[in-house]
Amino acid sequence: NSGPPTKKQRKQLSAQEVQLARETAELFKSNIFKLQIDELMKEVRIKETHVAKIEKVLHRLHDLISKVPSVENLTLQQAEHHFNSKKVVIPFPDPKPTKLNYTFSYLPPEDVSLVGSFGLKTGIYQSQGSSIDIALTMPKELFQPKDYLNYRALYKRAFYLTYLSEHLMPLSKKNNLPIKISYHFLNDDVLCPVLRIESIKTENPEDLSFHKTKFTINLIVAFPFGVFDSKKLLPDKNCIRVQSDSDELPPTPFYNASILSMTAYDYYLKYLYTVKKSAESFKEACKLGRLWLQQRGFGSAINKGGFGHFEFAILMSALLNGGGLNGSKTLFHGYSSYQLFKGLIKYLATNDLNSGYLSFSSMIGENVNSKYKEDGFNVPTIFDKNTKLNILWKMTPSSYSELQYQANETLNLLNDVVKDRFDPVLLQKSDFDQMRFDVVLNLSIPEELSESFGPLEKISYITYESYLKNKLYKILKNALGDRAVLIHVRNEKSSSIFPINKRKPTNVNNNYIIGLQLNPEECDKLVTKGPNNDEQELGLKFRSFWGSKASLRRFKDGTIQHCVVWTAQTNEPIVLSIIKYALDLHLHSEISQHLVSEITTFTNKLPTPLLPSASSQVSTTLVSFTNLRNALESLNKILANLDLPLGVKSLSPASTALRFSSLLQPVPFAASNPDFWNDAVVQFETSTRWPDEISALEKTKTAFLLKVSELLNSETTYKSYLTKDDSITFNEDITLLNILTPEGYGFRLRVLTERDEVLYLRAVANAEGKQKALLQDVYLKFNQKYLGTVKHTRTVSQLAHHFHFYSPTVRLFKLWLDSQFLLHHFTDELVELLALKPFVDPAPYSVPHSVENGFLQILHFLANWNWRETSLVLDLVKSTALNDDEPSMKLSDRLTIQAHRVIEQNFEKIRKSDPTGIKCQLFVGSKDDPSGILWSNELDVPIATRLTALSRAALQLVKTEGLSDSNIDLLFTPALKDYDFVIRVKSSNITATSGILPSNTFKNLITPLTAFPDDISTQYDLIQAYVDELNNKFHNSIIFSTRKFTGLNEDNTNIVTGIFVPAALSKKKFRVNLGLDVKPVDDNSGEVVINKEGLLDQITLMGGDLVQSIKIRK
Amino acid sequence: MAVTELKGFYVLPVSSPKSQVPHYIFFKKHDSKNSGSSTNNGRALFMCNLPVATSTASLKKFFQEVAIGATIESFVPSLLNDCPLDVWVNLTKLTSDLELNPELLSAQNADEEAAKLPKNCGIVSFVDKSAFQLAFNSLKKLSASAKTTPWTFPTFDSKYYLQRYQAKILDPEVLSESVSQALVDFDRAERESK
Repeated sequence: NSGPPTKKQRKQLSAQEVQLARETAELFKSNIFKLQIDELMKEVRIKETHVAKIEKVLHRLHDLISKVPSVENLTLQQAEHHFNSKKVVIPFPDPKPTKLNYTFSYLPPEDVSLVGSFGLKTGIYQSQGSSIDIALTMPKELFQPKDYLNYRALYKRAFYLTYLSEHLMPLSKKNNLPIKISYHFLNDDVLCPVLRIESIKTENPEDLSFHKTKFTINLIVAFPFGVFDSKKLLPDKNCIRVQSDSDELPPTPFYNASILSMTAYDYYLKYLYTVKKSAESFKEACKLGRLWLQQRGFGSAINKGGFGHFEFAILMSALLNGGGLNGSKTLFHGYSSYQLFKGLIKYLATNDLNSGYLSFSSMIGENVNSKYKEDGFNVPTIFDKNTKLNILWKMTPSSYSELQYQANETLNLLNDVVKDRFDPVLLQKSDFDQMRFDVVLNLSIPEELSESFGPLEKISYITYESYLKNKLYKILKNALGDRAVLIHVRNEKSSSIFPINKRKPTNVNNNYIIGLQLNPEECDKLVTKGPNNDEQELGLKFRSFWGSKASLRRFKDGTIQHCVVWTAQTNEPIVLSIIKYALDLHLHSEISQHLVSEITTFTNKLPTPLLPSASSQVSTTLVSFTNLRNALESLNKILANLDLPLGVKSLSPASTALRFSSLLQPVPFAASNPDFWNDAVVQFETSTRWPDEISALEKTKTAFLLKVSELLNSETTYKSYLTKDDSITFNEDITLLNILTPEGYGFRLRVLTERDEVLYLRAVANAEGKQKALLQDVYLKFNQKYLGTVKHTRTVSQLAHHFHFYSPTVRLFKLWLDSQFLLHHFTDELVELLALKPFVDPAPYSVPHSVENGFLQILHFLANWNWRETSLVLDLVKSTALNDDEPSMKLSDRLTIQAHRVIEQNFEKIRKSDPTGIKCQLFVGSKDDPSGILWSNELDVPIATRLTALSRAALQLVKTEGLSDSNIDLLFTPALKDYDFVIRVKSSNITATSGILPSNTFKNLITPLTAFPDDISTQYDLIQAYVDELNNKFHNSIIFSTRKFTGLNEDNTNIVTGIFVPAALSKKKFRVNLGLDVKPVDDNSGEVVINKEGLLDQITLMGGDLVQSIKIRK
Repeated sequence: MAVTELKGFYVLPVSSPKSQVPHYIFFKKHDSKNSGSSTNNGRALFMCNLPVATSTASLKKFFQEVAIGATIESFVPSLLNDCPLDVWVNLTKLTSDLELNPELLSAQNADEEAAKLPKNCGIVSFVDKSAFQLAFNSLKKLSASAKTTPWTFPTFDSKYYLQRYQAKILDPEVLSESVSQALVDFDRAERESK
């Protein structure tokens, strides 16, 4: 059968081929990842010398433990008196025992073994150090079957632990193992104190010191496996008996799980070890998992969400044995580490272990399938049928939803075929609260609230902190509903380590951190809707939750619903008002006064527009911008109807305010606003008659504009005039039509024809030698002003509508840049693209839904962007999720692999000729600009470097000192000492005429602007003209910086700073074309050097009455 | 010893009356064999590193002080003096082969001499050779003495900067006229080239 394939065969083949192609792509990705993983594994490997050292330590410690003498049958009183309470105290759990009918003993442990990741050899190097777990199993004969009840086993264990530490101290000293012992609540579990051993550095060379390894050792006292009837410790059983009025005591799941887990350290190590043997890449996948969790702030400890390396490894083991609804396999033993890791992430992302659960068996050798069950317990559950332990017992619904959310975000990254996502998945830390969450609140709990923590709450939650966290979460969840996608609550705990002469940590921290991730579609809604009026039971529930604020309303569609109506407050997000109300009502009547958030501090930084509506506006409103756009639309209609030789075909918006991104909101008649004039590009109907020479072409355009101006002035209420435009170097004939609209806005029209691009490109082609680069820059300028900005405005407008917080975030970012004298060095477009980064590509964080979050993410990106080696390629679409089924988002909008590759190649080309980024620093490519340099071409190295340095300094401040009002002010304060000279300048008062409500004034004392002055240029900022003039004259020798927005300064002052260009400072051979102000060097060498004093003299002179003072750095 | 000559240039320290900090102008006799225009041959000075805003008026005033009788005919400053770039490019030449009447083109683009001058340089032409010689000798003397000569700077103030803004606004009638003339010339040039 060697003939051509039949039709049927061909069909089959192609289906196979598709499958093959798909697998190849996946395999390819897997291979790339594999290489990166190999590299990573080398980096995180624990040093061999450290391992050797620590093994020696463990042996010695083992010897010491075996030397601890036995003691038997001490009564409680004897046990307590056995120890010198100044040196060591028994860490009994609460409630402390008073009278007992059983005794305490210490007998040598049944077993001492390494457990945890060090035992499993899945540990990784951690810069902050890591811990090694050793389990000491108490002998069986110390227990009675009923000891699982009422803390009995725990009391015995606590004694055992203390007795051990009391003996280890002198023993270790005698045997040259200098150590410090403290108590430590393992994984924040207060029922499980362990001994934490750290090395002490000594002078004695005979001492075995291991502080350099940064390892600490946890001595964990364990119960023998199976010592208690595990069925009695199921999550729904009560094991702490207290007196109560109710017939039935609530279950004690946390207590039960804690006891069970204390019996199973060694058991689970053996289980994991067996799985590791069966799957080659298991070990590596575990390390990846640990890294992934760690970067996101997850860990086995309760305050870290209760999901760490151990839980990850158990879940992976369970999934190697099934995991689907019918026990179908999820992971295969032959998978690579990448496949195992991705499979597990996918499982976490797509299965709900809170509403459902995973059931598996850890019985070695007996292959019971793991099964996913849809009906769960509404607590995160991975249930081990063999031990009856819920592996996720330290998790809460809150921490689980966070884990699931993170898994989802990572899954999207792993599915990305266009960009390599290794870095954000595994290498970048993403646990900084203010960037993880849109709103971060600090809540200090007043002491009187502890009264609500009664005996029943105590046995259910064990600690007051867990109880409060749970209560806070429930209230917030109910109050916020769909407004928040994530609610994170944690206790701001300083440490779970305490000295062995204390029964428990002394300083109790009453601070709680609440982090919210908002749902942009819901979070700002003014009405919280409840059930319909006819649903009585639900209505009752709704009303009892919302109290007096609940009301009945008839909606447009005729339904009558329970609801709560909120009022928007300036800059305070509605969610904050809701939280305050709900917590006051359900937690404590004045608790909202203990709630601190910086969220409004950031939005309050944004200048208030001089508009009648300003006081009632929320920060995300775009009304003032929309008014401006409407004014352009009206103008467009008028232009379209003018009687001209060629009709107006289009009028395209091309200014920062027209794309919702200008620092100041557009305010009518505010002519001092540097963004007052809004560019728009006019195109006339197609014509073949445009002159084929650039000057004549511009003159023809001018003729058209003159005609338009004449008609506007005579026939409409618009005022217009022409100005000379010098935005395109060497093209001296460009004119712009300035139009003042009756609404009070300014538009500046430039004409684009079909010939322009041809002529500029012809000039590039005809240029020779050095001129070529110059003319390429001229072409870029043309592209910027006539083509690029139109595309950019279109794209950014769309995105600004989709991402509600983009507009205020980019404006705050501009404000920050301006406060640091950087803004006027950048094109608006570049700044806006940089600000889009967290919105279109936030990994490893998420799309920001608050100004604070967005702003910090921009800084975070800038601080970490190594622009010499990496490009920034932005996929300017509304969502990066691959499985997004939003109908408006066509697949073709996204950057294809090819398009992405082209941009990357452009970057590689640029860096090949300019490896250190002398000419081109920030490369920002997108579908609008594959060249990547359209908006960053004219930047200088010192400015790009300063942007990086200032972002780093800002983040450092925020991370180390926190976000207080004064720190936020500091962020916006410039560092003047870095400049060679600082000139203080003063101009006329332009704050109000910039459309800014002056600070510390009452709105009603300031009259809104209602008309233009006769000569609008009298309202311009003269300081900017001064700086322009300085740049024209001294650009070669000095980099001048100033605030672009003088009107934002108090009392009409501004500052002009200067830094000498390093290259201009060296001595040079005299040439007429040096372009620098020089003086001869006094040594007849024929050399000259820059004339600093003379320059400063001229600069001061040029400032005239604007200059108040000049300060020169010595 | 102060440097008074540098690679064929004389060094002339000047300063504003308000300041004692000298500014250094470098000058020599203008050698125009490269520039092609021979109109001012032998009676022009090439001056380099001129102070900001040097104009015909400020030069006239200066020469009145230091060399009475050396009457200036014209002063051609570099186009780059008010521009952050180091080279000037004529876009018309690069986009078209047409021979356009240079006088009617944008005055600056047509001024080839000005376009070729490096930043902060200028050519001062005197009415005749003797005027030039007078000026040149006086300057050389000043240079040799190495003393700082007073220089008048124009006044910069708020008004100056306001005028810069206002100067950008074009008078519609003047503009209209120049545009139509330029377009007539362009048409003619196009017809002639066919």
